[in-house]
Amino acid sequence: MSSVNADTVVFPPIKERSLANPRTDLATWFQQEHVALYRLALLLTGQRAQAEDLVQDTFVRLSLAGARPEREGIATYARRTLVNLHRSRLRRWYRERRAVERLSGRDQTTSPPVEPADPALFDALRHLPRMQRAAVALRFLEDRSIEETATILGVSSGAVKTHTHRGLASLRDRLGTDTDQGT
Amino acid sequence: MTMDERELQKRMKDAVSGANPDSAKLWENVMDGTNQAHKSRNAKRTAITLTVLAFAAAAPFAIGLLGSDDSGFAEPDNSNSPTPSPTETTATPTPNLITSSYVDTQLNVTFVVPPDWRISEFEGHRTIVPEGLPMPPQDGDTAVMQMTFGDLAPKQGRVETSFSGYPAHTVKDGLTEWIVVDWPASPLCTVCDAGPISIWWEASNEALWDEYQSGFDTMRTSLTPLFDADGEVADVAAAEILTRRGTVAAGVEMNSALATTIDFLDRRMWMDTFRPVLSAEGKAAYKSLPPFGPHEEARLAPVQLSPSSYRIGSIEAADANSFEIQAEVRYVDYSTEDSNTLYGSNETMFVGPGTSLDSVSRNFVIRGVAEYAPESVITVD
Repeated sequence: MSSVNADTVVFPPIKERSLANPRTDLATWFQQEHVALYRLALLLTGQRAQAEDLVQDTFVRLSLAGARPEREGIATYARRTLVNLHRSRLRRWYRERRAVERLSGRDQTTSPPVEPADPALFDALRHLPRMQRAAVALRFLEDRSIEETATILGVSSGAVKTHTHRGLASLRDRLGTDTDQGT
Repeated sequence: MTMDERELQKRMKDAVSGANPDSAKLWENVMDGTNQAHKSRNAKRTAITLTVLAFAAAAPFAIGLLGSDDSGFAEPDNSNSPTPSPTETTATPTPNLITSSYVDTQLNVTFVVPPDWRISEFEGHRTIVPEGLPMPPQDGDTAVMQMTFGDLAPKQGRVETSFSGYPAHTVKDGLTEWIVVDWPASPLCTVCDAGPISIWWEASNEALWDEYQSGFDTMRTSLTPLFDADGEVADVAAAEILTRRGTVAAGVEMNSALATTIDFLDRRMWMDTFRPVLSAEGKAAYKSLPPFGPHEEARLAPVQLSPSSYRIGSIEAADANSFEIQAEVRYVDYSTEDSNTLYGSNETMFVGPGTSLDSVSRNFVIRGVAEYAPESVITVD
């Protein structure tokens, strides 16, 4: 897949009539946030195509959200939307997997492919429960504070601490084991 | 941050630092998706507008046909009459006497829901709007009550107060009124610490605020924690109890066993963790139910069942500490496009003291689940 430097891309203006709220400026939001959102989505999904889909759907949702993103802060609102969309997709994926298991009569343990860059890390992240993965990604990839992470995930600060702590412990275990095996 | 946390952070950042999306293509896709979404919304609006216009246009003819008078005299023009004539029959709306109460085992709230208001939940965020008004984030003028975890109220203009005996503050910000109340966390919620929840009422304009203020007041004055600081459950008196994903039949009284069962069923609908509400024996029994059960061939055709809603029908004391609760769990078959056909599974849940899967000794956990009647097919409108 070709990569284009976000700074060099010229974003065409959106026709105003296509926006739910003329005050919103989707192009500006896209320019500000899409790379960071893509990287966050990449850590959550482990796959480039899924990450791009998530980011795309996030911006479509933003365009429909009226004044709410501006009121709550675009960075927070966009990340909450992305995390929620990821959750919905996970649920769909589990449903599909269960259906395949029933039809085929065997356990479907096939894992989605991981990215080539640091596959051990992506594999370890993939084994974390959804909330732990999101908490760890927001806290460590994005340097979000506990309070910011709590607002994005819609949980309490204590819950963020718990998810982060457990997520880190699992990552340490998995990555430690992988390192040992590797050496 | 410890040394290994810093290393992990560096590794995480390194893993994605070189990853950039194809921005131009992504933007093109966003544009396509946005235009498509807005077209779809506009098409719906147009259809509704046309329908309303068609009715409006047809109404005078229909009324004329019903009340046609061949006497040859012109009818007096009453269109500017400010009050109906005394002989005119005025349609009296039938008052909706059914009062529902909403029970939320996660936010730990219960309140009376005004008739014909709709509740939606998304990731811990509850939204309640009157029937017929758009549910945010849908576009359009609306009146809405919202609730979520945390303190989201504006920092300016706070007034310290108490609410149901717990510390709170209120904020009035234009046509939005906030209450942030610091009351006990739900003992069933493993991801909720004690901390405030925010509740706010909002209208797009003065007219909507005036129209729905009584509904706001109904909810505000009836708002109370479901569990108090001692874990006791509030008295929820209602013709019907609404939950996040189901209903409870009239006459079923709220208690801690029922609250645990509601929580268990809500978690099933969302596929959330069962750790605080299910014992090891309960888990084994649950795994024998659809869609996990081994009786696939004996079951009805669906192959992609997913729980969608439930209705609790009764609660009976089994002994001094335990209860048997009967419910119908409804499943959607995702393998078909037919969302009007649901599959009902009648279940009995056995609730009593025990150790939950998160190794906590609790007064109530689900210790067993069994089907007591064959599945049924339910067709909904």
